[in-house]
Amino acid sequence: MPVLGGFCPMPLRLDAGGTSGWSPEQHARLSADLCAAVATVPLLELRYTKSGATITVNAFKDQLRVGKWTSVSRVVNGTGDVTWQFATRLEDEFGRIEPILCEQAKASCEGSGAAVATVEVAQNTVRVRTFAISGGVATAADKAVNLKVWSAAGSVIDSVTSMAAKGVRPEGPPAIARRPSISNYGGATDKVPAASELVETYAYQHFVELATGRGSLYTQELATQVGAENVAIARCFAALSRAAERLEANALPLTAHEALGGWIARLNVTAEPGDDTNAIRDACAARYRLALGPTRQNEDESIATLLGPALVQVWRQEGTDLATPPPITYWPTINPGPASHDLTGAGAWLSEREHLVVEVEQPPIMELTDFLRLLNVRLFDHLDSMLPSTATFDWCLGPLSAGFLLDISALDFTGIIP
Amino acid sequence: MTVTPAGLPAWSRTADFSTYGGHTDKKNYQAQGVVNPRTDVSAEQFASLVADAAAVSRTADFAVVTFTCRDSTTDDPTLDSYLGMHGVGAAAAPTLTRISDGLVELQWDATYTDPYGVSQAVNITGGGPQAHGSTALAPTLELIDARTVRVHIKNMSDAYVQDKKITLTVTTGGD
Repeated sequence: MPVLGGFCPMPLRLDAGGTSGWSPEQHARLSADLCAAVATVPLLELRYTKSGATITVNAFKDQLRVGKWTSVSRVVNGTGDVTWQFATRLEDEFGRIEPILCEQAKASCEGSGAAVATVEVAQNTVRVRTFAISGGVATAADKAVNLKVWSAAGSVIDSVTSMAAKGVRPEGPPAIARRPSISNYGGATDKVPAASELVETYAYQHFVELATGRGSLYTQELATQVGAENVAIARCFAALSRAAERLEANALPLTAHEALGGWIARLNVTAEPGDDTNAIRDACAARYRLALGPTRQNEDESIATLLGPALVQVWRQEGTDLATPPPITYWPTINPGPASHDLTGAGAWLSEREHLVVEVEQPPIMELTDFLRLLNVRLFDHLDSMLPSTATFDWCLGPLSAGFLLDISALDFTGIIP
Repeated sequence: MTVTPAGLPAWSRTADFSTYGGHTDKKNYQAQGVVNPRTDVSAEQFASLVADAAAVSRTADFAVVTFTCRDSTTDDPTLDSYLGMHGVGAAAAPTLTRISDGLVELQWDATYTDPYGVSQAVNITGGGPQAHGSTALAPTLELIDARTVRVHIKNMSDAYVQDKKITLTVTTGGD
Protein backbone atom coordinates (compact mmCIF):
# COMPACT_ATOMS: atom_id res chain seq x y z
CA MET A 1 0.00 0.00 0.00
CA PRO A 2 1.29 3.43 -0.74
CA VAL A 3 2.01 5.36 2.41
CA LEU A 4 2.39 9.00 1.47
CA GLY A 5 0.00 11.79 0.69
CA GLY A 6 -3.67 12.57 1.12
CA PHE A 7 -4.89 9.09 0.22
CA CYS A 8 -2.70 7.61 2.97
CA PRO A 9 -3.72 9.19 6.22
CA MET A 10 -1.95 8.23 9.43
CA PRO A 11 -1.28 5.71 10.69
CA LEU A 12 1.16 4.73 7.97
CA ARG A 13 0.79 1.16 6.83
CA LEU A 14 3.72 -0.71 5.36
CA ASP A 15 3.66 -2.22 1.94
CA ALA A 16 6.01 -3.51 -0.78
CA GLY A 17 7.92 -0.24 -1.06
CA GLY A 18 8.51 1.58 -4.31
CA THR A 19 8.00 5.18 -5.22
CA SER A 20 4.99 5.65 -3.00
CA GLY A 21 5.47 2.90 -0.48
CA TRP A 22 7.53 1.83 2.50
CA SER A 23 8.45 -1.80 3.03
CA PRO A 24 8.86 -3.54 6.41
CA GLU A 25 12.51 -4.17 5.56
CA GLN A 26 13.19 -0.49 4.93
CA HIS A 27 11.30 0.54 8.04
CA ALA A 28 13.18 -2.07 10.09
CA ARG A 29 16.54 -0.72 8.95
CA LEU A 30 15.50 2.82 9.80
CA SER A 31 14.33 1.74 13.26
CA ALA A 32 17.49 -0.20 13.99
CA ASP A 33 19.86 2.50 12.75
CA LEU A 34 18.04 5.20 14.66
CA CYS A 35 18.51 3.15 17.82
CA ALA A 36 22.22 2.86 17.01
CA ALA A 37 22.67 6.56 16.38
CA VAL A 38 20.62 7.59 19.42
CA ALA A 39 22.98 5.59 21.62
CA THR A 40 26.12 7.52 20.68
CA VAL A 41 25.26 10.99 19.42
CA PRO A 42 26.44 13.73 21.79
CA LEU A 43 24.00 15.45 24.08
CA LEU A 44 25.48 18.79 23.11
CA GLU A 45 28.30 20.50 21.27
CA LEU A 46 29.63 23.86 22.35
CA ARG A 47 32.22 26.09 20.73
CA TYR A 48 33.52 28.94 22.79
CA THR A 49 36.38 31.37 22.99
CA LYS A 50 37.94 32.46 26.24
CA SER A 51 39.83 35.68 26.62
CA GLY A 52 40.51 36.56 30.23
CA ALA A 53 37.22 36.78 32.08
CA THR A 54 35.24 36.98 28.84
CA ILE A 55 33.66 33.86 27.44
CA THR A 56 32.11 34.08 24.00
CA VAL A 57 29.81 31.26 22.93
CA ASN A 58 30.46 30.92 19.21
CA ALA A 59 28.12 28.00 18.57
CA PHE A 60 25.89 25.78 20.56
CA LYS A 61 23.65 22.88 19.76
CA ASP A 62 22.08 20.23 21.87
CA GLN A 63 19.58 17.59 20.90
CA LEU A 64 16.73 20.06 21.24
CA ARG A 65 18.00 23.38 19.92
CA VAL A 66 20.66 25.02 17.83
CA GLY A 67 22.14 28.51 18.09
CA LYS A 68 24.46 30.79 19.95
CA TRP A 69 22.78 30.11 23.21
CA THR A 70 24.48 32.52 25.55
CA SER A 71 22.66 31.54 28.68
CA VAL A 72 24.72 28.43 29.30
CA SER A 73 26.01 28.86 32.83
CA ARG A 74 29.76 29.06 33.22
CA VAL A 75 32.38 30.00 35.78
CA VAL A 76 35.82 31.27 34.92
CA ASN A 77 38.32 29.62 37.25
CA GLY A 78 41.46 31.09 35.80
CA THR A 79 43.59 31.17 32.71
CA GLY A 80 42.35 28.54 30.31
CA ASP A 81 40.07 27.17 32.97
CA VAL A 82 36.28 27.22 32.64
CA THR A 83 33.56 25.24 34.35
CA TRP A 84 30.34 24.79 32.37
CA GLN A 85 27.10 24.06 34.15
CA PHE A 86 24.38 22.38 32.11
CA ALA A 87 20.72 21.80 32.78
CA THR A 88 19.74 18.93 35.04
CA ARG A 89 16.75 18.11 32.88
CA LEU A 90 15.46 18.84 29.42
CA GLU A 91 11.92 18.98 28.10
CA ASP A 92 11.38 18.14 24.45
CA GLU A 93 8.83 19.42 21.96
CA PHE A 94 6.24 16.92 23.20
CA GLY A 95 6.57 17.70 26.88
CA ARG A 96 8.70 14.69 27.71
CA ILE A 97 11.04 15.55 30.55
CA GLU A 98 14.25 13.64 31.07
CA PRO A 99 16.85 14.12 33.81
CA ILE A 100 20.29 14.82 32.40
CA LEU A 101 23.50 13.51 33.88
CA CYS A 102 26.61 14.50 31.98
CA GLU A 103 28.99 11.59 31.99
CA GLN A 104 31.55 11.87 29.19
CA ALA A 105 33.18 14.79 27.44
CA LYS A 106 35.81 15.68 24.87
CA ALA A 107 37.45 19.03 24.29
CA SER A 108 39.82 20.14 21.57
CA CYS A 109 41.57 23.46 21.00
CA GLU A 110 41.38 25.52 17.86
CA GLY A 111 44.14 27.59 16.35
CA SER A 112 47.57 27.18 14.85
CA GLY A 113 49.58 26.74 18.02
CA ALA A 114 50.15 23.39 19.70
CA ALA A 115 47.60 23.01 22.44
CA VAL A 116 45.76 20.41 24.46
CA ALA A 117 42.69 20.37 26.62
CA THR A 118 41.59 18.28 29.56
CA VAL A 119 38.13 17.76 30.99
CA GLU A 120 36.63 16.91 34.34
CA VAL A 121 33.02 15.77 34.43
CA ALA A 122 31.04 15.83 37.66
CA GLN A 123 27.25 15.69 37.87
CA ASN A 124 26.20 18.32 35.33
CA THR A 125 29.37 20.34 35.23
CA VAL A 126 32.23 19.99 32.81
CA ARG A 127 35.48 21.71 33.66
CA VAL A 128 37.72 22.40 30.69
CA ARG A 129 41.35 23.35 31.00
CA THR A 130 43.37 24.40 27.99
CA PHE A 131 47.15 24.55 27.63
CA ALA A 132 49.54 25.92 25.08
CA ILE A 133 52.51 23.68 24.39
CA SER A 134 55.98 24.95 23.74
CA GLY A 135 59.28 23.16 24.17
CA GLY A 136 57.56 20.19 25.79
CA VAL A 137 56.02 22.36 28.46
CA ALA A 138 52.29 22.89 28.85
CA THR A 139 51.20 26.28 30.10
CA ALA A 140 47.64 27.24 30.91
CA ALA A 141 46.32 29.45 28.14
CA ASP A 142 43.01 30.85 26.95
CA LYS A 143 41.91 29.18 23.75
CA ALA A 144 39.01 28.65 21.41
CA VAL A 145 37.56 25.29 22.31
CA ASN A 146 35.21 22.72 20.84
CA LEU A 147 33.48 20.77 23.57
CA LYS A 148 31.29 17.70 23.17
CA VAL A 149 29.35 16.24 26.06
CA TRP A 150 27.54 12.92 26.31
CA SER A 151 24.87 12.15 28.87
CA ALA A 152 24.35 8.87 30.65
CA ALA A 153 21.52 6.50 29.89
CA GLY A 154 18.63 7.46 32.11
CA SER A 155 16.36 5.26 34.16
CA VAL A 156 12.80 4.72 33.00
CA ILE A 157 11.43 5.65 36.41
CA ASP A 158 12.85 9.14 36.06
CA SER A 159 10.96 9.98 32.87
CA VAL A 160 7.94 12.21 33.21
CA THR A 161 5.66 14.09 30.89
CA SER A 162 4.79 17.70 31.47
CA MET A 163 1.26 18.27 32.74
CA ALA A 164 0.96 21.03 30.17
CA ALA A 165 1.81 18.69 27.29
CA LYS A 166 -0.92 18.40 24.71
CA GLY A 167 -1.30 16.48 21.53
CA VAL A 168 0.37 13.28 20.50
CA ARG A 169 2.41 11.41 23.09
CA PRO A 170 5.41 9.89 21.34
CA GLU A 171 6.05 6.28 22.18
CA GLY A 172 8.99 5.75 24.46
CA PRO A 173 11.43 8.29 25.85
CA PRO A 174 13.19 11.01 23.84
CA ALA A 175 16.63 10.41 22.34
CA ILE A 176 18.36 12.18 25.21
CA ALA A 177 17.35 9.31 27.50
CA ARG A 178 19.53 6.88 25.49
CA ARG A 179 16.99 4.08 25.94
CA PRO A 180 16.11 3.50 22.29
CA SER A 181 13.93 0.63 21.24
CA ILE A 182 12.78 -0.33 17.78
CA SER A 183 9.23 -0.59 19.12
CA ASN A 184 9.24 3.18 19.79
CA TYR A 185 9.53 3.69 16.03
CA GLY A 186 6.94 1.05 15.25
CA GLY A 187 9.56 -1.62 14.72
CA ALA A 188 9.03 -5.30 15.45
CA THR A 189 10.88 -8.41 14.36
CA ASP A 190 7.70 -9.83 12.79
CA LYS A 191 6.60 -6.75 10.85
CA VAL A 192 4.86 -7.57 7.56
CA PRO A 193 3.17 -5.52 4.83
CA ALA A 194 -0.44 -4.61 5.49
CA ALA A 195 -2.39 -7.08 3.37
CA SER A 196 -5.70 -5.22 3.32
CA GLU A 197 -4.27 -2.06 1.76
CA LEU A 198 -1.34 -3.59 -0.08
CA VAL A 199 -2.31 -2.49 -3.59
CA GLU A 200 -4.61 0.44 -3.00
CA THR A 201 -5.49 2.29 0.13
CA TYR A 202 -9.02 2.22 1.48
CA ALA A 203 -9.22 5.95 0.85
CA TYR A 204 -8.36 5.58 -2.80
CA GLN A 205 -10.71 2.65 -3.27
CA HIS A 206 -13.59 4.68 -1.87
CA PHE A 207 -12.50 7.71 -3.89
CA VAL A 208 -12.65 5.75 -7.13
CA GLU A 209 -16.08 4.40 -6.23
CA LEU A 210 -17.34 7.86 -5.37
CA ALA A 211 -15.95 9.53 -8.47
CA THR A 212 -17.24 6.73 -10.66
CA GLY A 213 -20.59 6.67 -8.95
CA ARG A 214 -21.12 10.35 -9.47
CA GLY A 215 -20.88 9.78 -13.17
CA SER A 216 -19.61 11.85 -16.06
CA LEU A 217 -21.63 14.89 -15.09
CA TYR A 218 -19.04 15.57 -12.41
CA THR A 219 -15.43 16.38 -13.10
CA GLN A 220 -12.91 13.69 -12.34
CA GLU A 221 -10.14 16.19 -11.68
CA LEU A 222 -8.68 16.07 -8.20
CA ALA A 223 -7.85 19.76 -7.94
CA THR A 224 -11.47 20.87 -8.04
CA GLN A 225 -14.22 21.36 -5.53
CA VAL A 226 -15.76 18.07 -6.56
CA GLY A 227 -12.40 16.37 -6.30
CA ALA A 228 -11.80 17.77 -2.83
CA GLU A 229 -15.28 16.69 -1.78
CA ASN A 230 -14.66 13.18 -3.09
CA VAL A 231 -11.32 12.96 -1.28
CA ALA A 232 -12.82 14.15 2.00
CA ILE A 233 -15.71 11.68 1.83
CA ALA A 234 -13.38 8.88 0.75
CA ARG A 235 -11.15 9.48 3.77
CA CYS A 236 -14.19 9.28 6.03
CA PHE A 237 -15.21 5.94 4.58
CA ALA A 238 -11.61 4.78 4.77
CA ALA A 239 -11.63 5.52 8.49
CA LEU A 240 -14.67 3.25 8.83
CA SER A 241 -12.94 0.48 6.92
CA ARG A 242 -9.86 0.81 9.07
CA ALA A 243 -11.98 0.87 12.23
CA ALA A 244 -13.47 -2.49 11.33
CA GLU A 245 -10.02 -3.88 10.70
CA ARG A 246 -8.74 -2.35 13.91
CA LEU A 247 -11.53 -4.05 15.84
CA GLU A 248 -10.51 -7.37 14.37
CA ALA A 249 -6.84 -6.81 15.17
CA ASN A 250 -7.49 -5.77 18.76
CA ALA A 251 -9.59 -8.86 19.31
CA LEU A 252 -6.35 -10.84 19.57
CA PRO A 253 -3.54 -9.87 21.93
CA LEU A 254 -0.76 -10.50 19.38
CA THR A 255 -2.13 -7.81 17.08
CA ALA A 256 -3.66 -5.52 19.70
CA HIS A 257 -2.64 -1.91 20.09
CA GLU A 258 -5.33 0.29 21.63
CA ALA A 259 -6.77 -2.69 23.49
CA LEU A 260 -3.41 -3.98 24.72
CA GLY A 261 -3.96 -2.47 28.14
CA GLY A 262 -7.17 -4.42 28.45
CA TRP A 263 -5.46 -7.64 27.46
CA ILE A 264 -2.76 -7.03 30.06
CA ALA A 265 -5.41 -6.73 32.74
CA ARG A 266 -7.59 -9.63 31.57
CA LEU A 267 -4.67 -12.01 31.11
CA ASN A 268 -2.94 -10.80 34.29
CA VAL A 269 0.35 -10.22 32.51
CA THR A 270 3.09 -8.34 34.31
CA ALA A 271 3.82 -5.03 32.62
CA GLU A 272 5.79 -2.12 34.00
CA PRO A 273 6.61 1.34 32.67
CA GLY A 274 9.42 1.10 30.16
CA ASP A 275 8.68 -2.50 29.14
CA ASP A 276 9.02 -3.10 25.43
CA THR A 277 5.59 -3.07 23.80
CA ASN A 278 6.38 -6.01 21.54
CA ALA A 279 7.53 -8.07 24.52
CA ILE A 280 4.26 -7.30 26.30
CA ARG A 281 2.30 -8.41 23.23
CA ASP A 282 4.27 -11.66 23.11
CA ALA A 283 3.59 -12.24 26.79
CA CYS A 284 -0.13 -11.63 26.32
CA ALA A 285 -0.23 -13.88 23.25
CA ALA A 286 1.52 -16.64 25.14
CA ARG A 287 -0.92 -16.36 28.04
CA TYR A 288 -3.86 -16.28 25.64
CA ARG A 289 -2.87 -19.67 24.25
CA LEU A 290 -3.54 -21.20 27.65
CA ALA A 291 -7.24 -20.76 26.98
CA LEU A 292 -6.85 -23.59 24.49
CA GLY A 293 -6.06 -25.93 27.36
CA PRO A 294 -2.88 -27.06 29.14
CA THR A 295 -1.91 -29.67 26.57
CA ARG A 296 1.73 -30.41 25.94
CA GLN A 297 1.58 -28.76 22.51
CA ASN A 298 -0.06 -25.62 23.89
CA GLU A 299 2.46 -25.44 26.69
CA ASP A 300 5.38 -25.72 24.28
CA GLU A 301 3.92 -23.28 21.78
CA SER A 302 3.03 -20.72 24.43
CA ILE A 303 6.55 -20.90 25.86
CA ALA A 304 7.96 -20.52 22.35
CA THR A 305 5.73 -17.48 21.76
CA LEU A 306 6.91 -15.92 24.99
CA LEU A 307 10.65 -16.62 24.69
CA GLY A 308 11.16 -16.38 20.95
CA PRO A 309 14.82 -16.95 20.06
CA ALA A 310 15.75 -17.40 23.73
CA LEU A 311 14.10 -20.83 23.85
CA VAL A 312 16.25 -23.89 23.21
CA GLN A 313 14.07 -26.74 24.41
CA VAL A 314 11.42 -27.70 26.94
CA TRP A 315 12.39 -30.71 29.02
CA ARG A 316 10.04 -33.24 30.61
CA GLN A 317 11.05 -36.40 32.42
CA GLU A 318 8.38 -38.99 31.68
CA GLY A 319 9.88 -42.32 32.56
CA THR A 320 9.52 -45.47 30.51
CA ASP A 321 5.73 -45.58 30.52
CA LEU A 322 2.83 -44.60 32.71
CA ALA A 323 3.37 -47.52 35.02
CA THR A 324 7.12 -46.92 35.20
CA PRO A 325 7.71 -43.37 36.31
CA PRO A 326 11.09 -41.62 36.32
CA PRO A 327 13.43 -42.69 39.11
CA ILE A 328 12.84 -39.78 41.46
CA THR A 329 9.13 -40.33 42.02
CA TYR A 330 8.01 -40.47 45.64
CA TRP A 331 4.48 -40.86 46.80
CA PRO A 332 3.56 -40.97 50.47
CA THR A 333 2.51 -44.52 51.47
CA ILE A 334 2.60 -45.70 47.83
CA ASN A 335 6.28 -45.26 47.11
CA PRO A 336 7.70 -43.38 50.07
CA GLY A 337 11.04 -41.73 49.62
CA PRO A 338 13.90 -41.20 52.05
CA ALA A 339 12.97 -39.57 55.32
CA SER A 340 15.40 -36.80 54.49
CA HIS A 341 13.13 -35.77 51.61
CA ASP A 342 10.12 -35.39 53.90
CA LEU A 343 9.73 -31.64 54.43
CA THR A 344 6.37 -31.61 56.17
CA GLY A 345 6.23 -34.86 58.11
CA ALA A 346 3.49 -36.15 55.85
CA GLY A 347 5.90 -37.95 53.56
CA ALA A 348 7.98 -37.00 50.57
CA TRP A 349 6.22 -35.96 47.38
CA LEU A 350 8.53 -35.70 44.41
CA SER A 351 7.68 -36.28 40.82
CA GLU A 352 9.94 -35.61 37.91
CA ARG A 353 6.89 -35.84 35.69
CA GLU A 354 5.62 -32.74 37.48
CA HIS A 355 8.86 -30.83 36.93
CA LEU A 356 9.18 -28.72 33.79
CA VAL A 357 12.55 -27.34 32.78
CA VAL A 358 12.96 -24.71 30.10
CA GLU A 359 16.37 -24.65 28.45
CA VAL A 360 17.27 -21.16 27.25
CA GLU A 361 20.12 -19.20 25.79
CA GLN A 362 20.68 -15.45 25.62
CA PRO A 363 20.09 -14.18 22.05
CA PRO A 364 22.86 -11.90 20.73
CA ILE A 365 20.39 -9.05 20.29
CA MET A 366 19.12 -9.18 23.87
CA GLU A 367 20.71 -7.33 26.77
CA LEU A 368 21.44 -9.40 29.86
CA THR A 369 19.02 -7.42 32.03
CA ASP A 370 16.22 -7.93 29.50
CA PHE A 371 17.10 -11.62 29.23
CA LEU A 372 16.97 -12.13 33.00
CA ARG A 373 13.74 -10.18 33.26
CA LEU A 374 12.26 -12.34 30.52
CA LEU A 375 13.16 -15.48 32.45
CA ASN A 376 12.70 -14.49 36.07
CA VAL A 377 9.59 -12.35 35.64
CA ARG A 378 7.73 -13.13 32.43
CA LEU A 379 8.55 -16.83 32.16
CA PHE A 380 7.99 -17.37 35.86
CA ASP A 381 4.68 -15.52 35.65
CA HIS A 382 3.66 -17.55 32.62
CA LEU A 383 4.59 -20.96 34.00
CA ASP A 384 3.02 -20.14 37.34
CA SER A 385 -0.26 -19.46 35.56
CA MET A 386 0.02 -22.32 33.11
CA LEU A 387 1.02 -25.26 35.28
CA PRO A 388 -1.04 -26.88 38.01
CA SER A 389 -0.18 -26.07 41.60
CA THR A 390 1.34 -29.52 42.05
CA ALA A 391 3.94 -28.85 39.39
CA THR A 392 7.37 -27.29 39.75
CA PHE A 393 9.42 -25.59 37.09
CA ASP A 394 12.76 -24.00 36.44
CA TRP A 395 14.91 -22.69 33.63
CA CYS A 396 18.52 -23.49 32.81
CA LEU A 397 21.08 -22.11 30.41
CA GLY A 398 21.80 -24.00 27.26
CA PRO A 399 22.71 -25.21 24.78
CA LEU A 400 23.26 -28.37 26.73
CA SER A 401 25.57 -31.22 25.94
CA ALA A 402 25.97 -34.73 27.23
CA GLY A 403 26.71 -35.26 30.87
CA PHE A 404 25.24 -33.91 34.04
CA LEU A 405 22.47 -31.42 33.36
CA LEU A 406 21.55 -29.16 36.28
CA ASP A 407 17.86 -29.35 37.15
CA ILE A 408 17.40 -32.04 34.51
CA SER A 409 19.61 -34.96 35.39
CA ALA A 410 18.52 -37.17 38.26
CA LEU A 411 21.69 -36.37 40.13
CA ASP A 412 20.27 -32.97 40.96
CA PHE A 413 17.52 -34.49 43.06
CA THR A 414 19.87 -36.99 44.56
CA GLY A 415 22.16 -34.17 45.50
CA ILE A 416 19.72 -32.70 47.98
CA ILE A 417 20.31 -35.55 50.41
CA PRO A 418 22.18 -33.90 53.26
CA MET B 1 7.97 -14.71 10.34
CA THR B 2 10.91 -12.46 11.11
CA VAL B 3 11.46 -9.38 9.01
CA THR B 4 15.03 -8.87 7.79
CA PRO B 5 15.89 -5.18 7.59
CA ALA B 6 17.17 -3.81 4.34
CA GLY B 7 20.90 -3.18 4.15
CA LEU B 8 23.38 -3.49 7.01
CA PRO B 9 23.53 -2.04 10.54
CA ALA B 10 24.42 1.60 11.03
CA TRP B 11 28.12 1.05 11.84
CA SER B 12 28.70 -0.36 8.37
CA ARG B 13 28.09 3.20 7.06
CA THR B 14 26.57 1.70 3.92
CA ALA B 15 23.02 2.92 4.34
CA ASP B 16 21.74 5.77 2.26
CA PHE B 17 18.33 7.34 1.96
CA SER B 18 17.08 4.56 -0.29
CA THR B 19 17.87 1.94 2.34
CA TYR B 20 15.30 3.59 4.57
CA GLY B 21 12.70 3.75 1.81
CA GLY B 22 13.73 6.97 0.16
CA HIS B 23 13.55 7.51 -3.58
CA THR B 24 14.29 10.54 -5.71
CA ASP B 25 10.95 10.01 -7.39
CA LYS B 26 9.02 9.49 -4.18
CA LYS B 27 5.63 10.95 -4.63
CA ASN B 28 2.36 11.29 -2.89
CA TYR B 29 0.00 8.53 -3.91
CA GLN B 30 -2.08 9.52 -6.90
CA ALA B 31 -0.42 12.94 -6.63
CA GLN B 32 -2.69 13.86 -3.76
CA GLY B 33 -0.79 16.04 -1.37
CA VAL B 34 -1.27 16.46 2.34
CA VAL B 35 -4.93 16.99 3.16
CA ASN B 36 -4.61 17.25 6.89
CA PRO B 37 -1.14 17.92 8.30
CA ARG B 38 -2.23 16.34 11.55
CA THR B 39 -2.82 13.00 9.91
CA ASP B 40 -0.73 12.90 6.77
CA VAL B 41 2.92 12.60 5.95
CA SER B 42 3.95 14.02 2.63
CA ALA B 43 6.52 12.60 0.27
CA GLU B 44 8.64 15.68 0.89
CA GLN B 45 8.58 15.18 4.64
CA PHE B 46 9.35 11.52 4.28
CA ALA B 47 12.26 12.35 2.01
CA SER B 48 13.62 14.66 4.68
CA LEU B 49 13.23 11.98 7.33
CA VAL B 50 15.15 9.32 5.43
CA ALA B 51 17.83 11.73 4.24
CA ASP B 52 18.52 12.97 7.75
CA ALA B 53 18.49 9.46 9.13
CA ALA B 54 21.13 8.50 6.61
CA ALA B 55 23.19 11.55 7.50
CA VAL B 56 23.10 10.77 11.20
CA SER B 57 23.92 7.12 10.61
CA ARG B 58 27.00 8.08 8.63
CA THR B 59 28.64 10.25 11.24
CA ALA B 60 27.44 9.11 14.64
CA ASP B 61 30.30 7.64 16.64
CA PHE B 62 30.44 3.87 16.86
CA ALA B 63 31.33 4.07 20.54
CA VAL B 64 32.05 6.50 23.34
CA VAL B 65 33.89 4.92 26.26
CA THR B 66 35.34 6.33 29.45
CA PHE B 67 37.74 4.33 31.56
CA THR B 68 40.18 4.85 34.43
CA CYS B 69 43.60 3.23 34.43
CA ARG B 70 44.86 1.34 37.47
CA ASP B 71 48.55 1.23 36.70
CA SER B 72 49.68 1.59 40.31
CA THR B 73 48.05 -1.77 41.10
CA THR B 74 48.86 -3.26 37.67
CA ASP B 75 45.18 -4.01 37.12
CA ASP B 76 43.13 -3.64 33.98
CA PRO B 77 41.33 -0.30 33.70
CA THR B 78 37.88 0.09 35.16
CA LEU B 79 35.04 0.99 32.87
CA ASP B 80 33.26 4.20 33.84
CA SER B 81 30.79 4.53 30.99
CA TYR B 82 30.02 3.00 27.63
CA LEU B 83 27.77 4.10 24.80
CA GLY B 84 27.83 1.99 21.68
CA MET B 85 25.78 1.66 18.53
CA HIS B 86 25.27 -1.98 19.40
CA GLY B 87 24.43 -1.42 23.04
CA VAL B 88 24.79 0.75 26.08
CA GLY B 89 26.42 -0.17 29.37
CA ALA B 90 29.03 -2.55 30.69
CA ALA B 91 27.63 -5.63 28.97
CA ALA B 92 28.24 -4.08 25.55
CA ALA B 93 31.64 -2.60 26.35
CA PRO B 94 34.91 -3.79 24.80
CA THR B 95 37.57 -5.66 26.73
CA LEU B 96 39.91 -3.26 28.50
CA THR B 97 43.45 -4.54 29.01
CA ARG B 98 46.34 -2.84 30.65
CA ILE B 99 49.47 -3.36 28.53
CA SER B 100 51.80 -1.25 30.64
CA ASP B 101 51.76 2.07 32.45
CA GLY B 102 49.64 4.49 30.47
CA LEU B 103 49.06 2.01 27.67
CA VAL B 104 45.60 0.45 27.34
CA GLU B 105 44.20 -1.86 24.71
CA LEU B 106 40.49 -1.95 23.89
CA GLN B 107 39.11 -4.81 21.86
CA TRP B 108 35.56 -5.11 20.60
CA ASP B 109 33.90 -8.29 19.34
CA ALA B 110 34.51 -9.05 15.68
CA THR B 111 30.83 -8.59 14.91
CA TYR B 112 27.74 -7.22 16.58
CA THR B 113 24.08 -7.65 15.75
CA ASP B 114 21.37 -5.04 15.49
CA PRO B 115 17.97 -5.40 17.22
CA TYR B 116 16.80 -7.57 14.32
CA GLY B 117 19.71 -9.99 14.56
CA VAL B 118 21.53 -8.71 11.47
CA SER B 119 25.25 -9.10 12.05
CA GLN B 120 27.91 -6.62 10.96
CA ALA B 121 31.65 -6.73 11.43
CA VAL B 122 33.41 -4.00 13.36
CA ASN B 123 35.85 -2.02 11.23
CA ILE B 124 37.38 0.77 13.31
CA THR B 125 38.79 3.53 11.17
CA GLY B 126 39.38 6.36 13.58
CA GLY B 127 38.73 8.06 16.84
CA GLY B 128 40.36 10.12 19.51
CA PRO B 129 41.07 10.06 23.24
CA GLN B 130 40.44 12.80 25.74
CA ALA B 131 42.26 13.09 29.05
CA HIS B 132 40.44 13.99 32.25
CA GLY B 133 41.92 15.94 35.12
CA SER B 134 43.83 19.12 35.75
CA THR B 135 47.17 18.15 34.23
CA ALA B 136 47.88 18.64 30.54
CA LEU B 137 48.30 15.34 28.79
CA ALA B 138 48.65 14.29 25.17
CA PRO B 139 46.87 10.94 24.72
CA THR B 140 46.94 9.39 21.29
CA LEU B 141 45.12 6.57 19.57
CA GLU B 142 46.76 3.66 17.74
CA LEU B 143 44.70 1.44 15.45
CA ILE B 144 45.87 -2.15 15.86
CA ASP B 145 43.33 -3.98 13.74
CA ALA B 146 39.72 -3.72 12.70
CA ARG B 147 38.44 -4.23 16.24
CA THR B 148 41.38 -3.33 18.43
CA VAL B 149 42.85 0.01 19.43
CA ARG B 150 45.44 1.15 21.91
CA VAL B 151 45.48 4.40 23.81
CA HIS B 152 48.84 5.87 24.70
CA ILE B 153 48.60 8.26 27.63
CA LYS B 154 51.59 10.50 27.82
CA ASN B 155 52.59 13.82 29.33
CA MET B 156 54.19 16.76 27.64
CA SER B 157 57.60 15.12 27.95
CA ASP B 158 56.45 12.15 25.90
CA ALA B 159 56.51 9.90 28.99
CA TYR B 160 53.76 7.45 29.90
CA VAL B 161 51.72 8.37 32.96
CA GLN B 162 49.76 6.26 35.41
CA ASP B 163 46.17 6.01 36.57
CA LYS B 164 44.57 8.50 34.24
CA LYS B 165 40.94 8.75 33.20
CA ILE B 166 40.24 8.82 29.48
CA THR B 167 37.20 9.31 27.26
CA LEU B 168 37.61 7.72 23.86
CA THR B 169 35.40 8.06 20.80
CA VAL B 170 35.72 5.49 18.06
CA THR B 171 34.27 5.52 14.58
CA THR B 172 33.89 2.83 11.94
CA GLY B 173 33.66 2.59 8.18
CA GLY B 174 34.40 5.17 5.55
CA ASP B 175 37.53 3.51 4.24
